[in-house]
Amino acid sequence: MYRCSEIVRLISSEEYLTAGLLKRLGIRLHLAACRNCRRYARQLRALAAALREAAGPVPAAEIEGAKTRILERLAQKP
Amino acid sequence: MGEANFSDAGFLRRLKERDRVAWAELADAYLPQLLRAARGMGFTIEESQDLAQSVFAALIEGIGRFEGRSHIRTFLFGIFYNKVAEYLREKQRAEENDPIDEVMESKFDLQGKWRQPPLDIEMEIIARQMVERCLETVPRSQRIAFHLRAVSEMDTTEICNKMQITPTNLGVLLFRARNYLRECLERMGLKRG
Repeated sequence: MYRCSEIVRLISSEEYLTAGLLKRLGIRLHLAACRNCRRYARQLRALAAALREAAGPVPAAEIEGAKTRILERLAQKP
Repeated sequence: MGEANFSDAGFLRRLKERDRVAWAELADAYLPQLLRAARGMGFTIEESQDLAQSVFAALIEGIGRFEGRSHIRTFLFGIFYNKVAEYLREKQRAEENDPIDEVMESKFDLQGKWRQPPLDIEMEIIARQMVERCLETVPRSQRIAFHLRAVSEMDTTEICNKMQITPTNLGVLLFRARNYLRECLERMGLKRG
């Protein structure tokens, strides 16, 4: 049986993705029995989802500024 | 002009001839994505601008060698990921130890059981409101790894290849990034009661 500290490491580092069948089964068994680790796993999913939502578009002025400088660079002789 | 036309031989020729209109179209198509990725990885506005420009500068230099066998977006983002990988290589050596490791160790007793279990807070709501603020507590190299995984949705093998890091290394970066963020969000949730 895995300890909570090991479960936390396996989940947050995503080491479980490359783990064998037996190891994965061990992780599932632990999660089924441990409320704290389940909560931890759920919270990690929530923060990944929030991160995806937060990565919004860049202001147009920043894009234009970069574009201008790129075109200036282009105009320089190679 | 649609993205599909960028693979067109005529368009590639114009790029090679340094046609200003063609380059402007390319910039319009990919600069927003490039800057967004850089900002998402935690680079500042100025750094993101410099990074995007150095990517385009490398593309302008290298376009003569580009034969159009892959999509120009792949080529462009290949340059971008190489530059990010370069940054990670320089950065990572300094970060062998990270304070979050101790924080995490202190959460468990000697038997590896939770001593301070995760608090039962509305993480979905807190995260949505506070994630950007909490991201500032996450060191850059960890943020890059987490961004590639969670936002770009690359699998771990692809990230290791593109960033030239080992799976163990990536695991450490992801472990730290997630736990920094979770800790910070938990504190925010606590404050709100």
